[in-house]
Amino acid sequence: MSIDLHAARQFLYNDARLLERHLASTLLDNAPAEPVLTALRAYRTDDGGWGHALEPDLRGPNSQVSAAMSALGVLAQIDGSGNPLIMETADWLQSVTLPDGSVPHVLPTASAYPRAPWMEPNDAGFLTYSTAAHLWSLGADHPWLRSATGWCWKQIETKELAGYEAVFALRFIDAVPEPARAARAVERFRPSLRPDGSIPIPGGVDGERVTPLQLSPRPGAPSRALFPDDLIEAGLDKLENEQLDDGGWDFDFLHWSPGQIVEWRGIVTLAALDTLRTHGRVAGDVPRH
Amino acid sequence: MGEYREFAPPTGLISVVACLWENDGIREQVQRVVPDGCVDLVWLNDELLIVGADTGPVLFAPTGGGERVSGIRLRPGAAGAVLGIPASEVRDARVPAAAVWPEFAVSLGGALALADPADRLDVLARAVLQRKGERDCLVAAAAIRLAAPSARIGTVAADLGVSERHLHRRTVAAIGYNPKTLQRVTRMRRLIAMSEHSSRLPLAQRAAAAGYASQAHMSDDVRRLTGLTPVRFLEDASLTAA
Repeated sequence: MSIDLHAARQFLYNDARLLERHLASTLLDNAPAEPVLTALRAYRTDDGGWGHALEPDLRGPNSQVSAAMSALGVLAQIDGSGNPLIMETADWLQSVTLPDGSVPHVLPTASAYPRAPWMEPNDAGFLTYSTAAHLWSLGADHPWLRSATGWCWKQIETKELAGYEAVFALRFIDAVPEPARAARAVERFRPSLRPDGSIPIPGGVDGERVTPLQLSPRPGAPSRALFPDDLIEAGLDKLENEQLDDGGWDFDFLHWSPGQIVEWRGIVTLAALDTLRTHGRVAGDVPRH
Repeated sequence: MGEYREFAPPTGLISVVACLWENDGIREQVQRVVPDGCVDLVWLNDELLIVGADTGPVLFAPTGGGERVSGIRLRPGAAGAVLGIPASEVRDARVPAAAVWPEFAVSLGGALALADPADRLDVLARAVLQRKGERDCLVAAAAIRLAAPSARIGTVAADLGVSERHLHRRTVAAIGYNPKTLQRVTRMRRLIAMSEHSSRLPLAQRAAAAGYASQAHMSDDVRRLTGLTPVRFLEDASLTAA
């Protein structure tokens, strides 16, 4: 089956944030990227970082690493290479980096504001992977990226990574411009895959797992070596089938506040459309790669 | 053939790079490289070369145990943006990169000369990441449509909302040759892929499925691009590598 693109667009008009609306126009209709940047800048903080629930599970106004990661992710999606926001964000990351080169998962300022139960202040470093991945995709060169890359490689090459840490680590491996080392690193994850290509999430909601498409969302990326075409095709079929009657997609981690639900649904709906588009599954659309 | 390895590009390069590759420089027999619409940046014998898109076969003589050759293969349509010159200027040519990119090629060549051979692909990937241009989306879309078995250039141009002349100009700038040659190359690539997957299908059927009007049409096209007959060309899979 194929998706109802019209209904998906209506869902975004109903429920998505301004940022995802503009992003949808840019990704799906080749609209100019400037309105995306304008919407994104509203989430900047006074200290040069990002906050204000740009990442919807931390709802305070202060700078947080997850918000900085999201901002860089948006810049990477619109191919904003060269935008000064990239270096400014890397400068901010440098200011919160731990001695080992990683960045904390949640900064202490979060404790005064609404947040997801798994977003208590802590120094777990796994946002370092995708933050570094976005910076590599943007062609950035910054001291923070060099030290973070060292930390990521050390984790990947000396530990057995599980759950969401594996997902984030694969984003790093896909983006780091070290093709031979990346190809070797991908193989470290093969033993953790179940026959359907998914990996379980320890301690997640019932049956929570990460699928091949979540582990490897981009056709042609190094992580695709882990998944035969039929698993990816099955994943795309399943993703198409997960479109709900309201036209949107839903997420499978804890729903804990109305704002968090509506904001994440806009994000995952756009992500679903983007994944289907890059695989040539959105009718009448030629994949941009 | 020496040991040839291909690697997937990092995410930031997927839109402009088909793959990165290494070859340990040992070739026991003549190697025939056939057109694929791609432009390669290659570190070979201590020199950075731009290997333009070919419109015919290129033969490489056997070599002894040479030094490792490292390359990054730009997708059809990406070369113009990455090189900053019309790709047609390097068609069927191998030119020192310094002739095209005076400053950049000198600094990149210097970095490659200093790098450990095992790290040269990283240096190439980083350099292209940091100067990547936008792939020409019109040409990329045209390349996909021209690959359809019964595609006609006029119809593809009309579908994309441009004139045939405009599509011609953009394709020549981005890839280095015209839509007709691009279509020949994609059709032959499909024939190769099909022959790898279902080699027991009679050649006439493979020709029809790949989009050739007749077996004679296939023979003409394949001979023009490879210098060989289809049977001779397809029977030796090693000839189609690289």
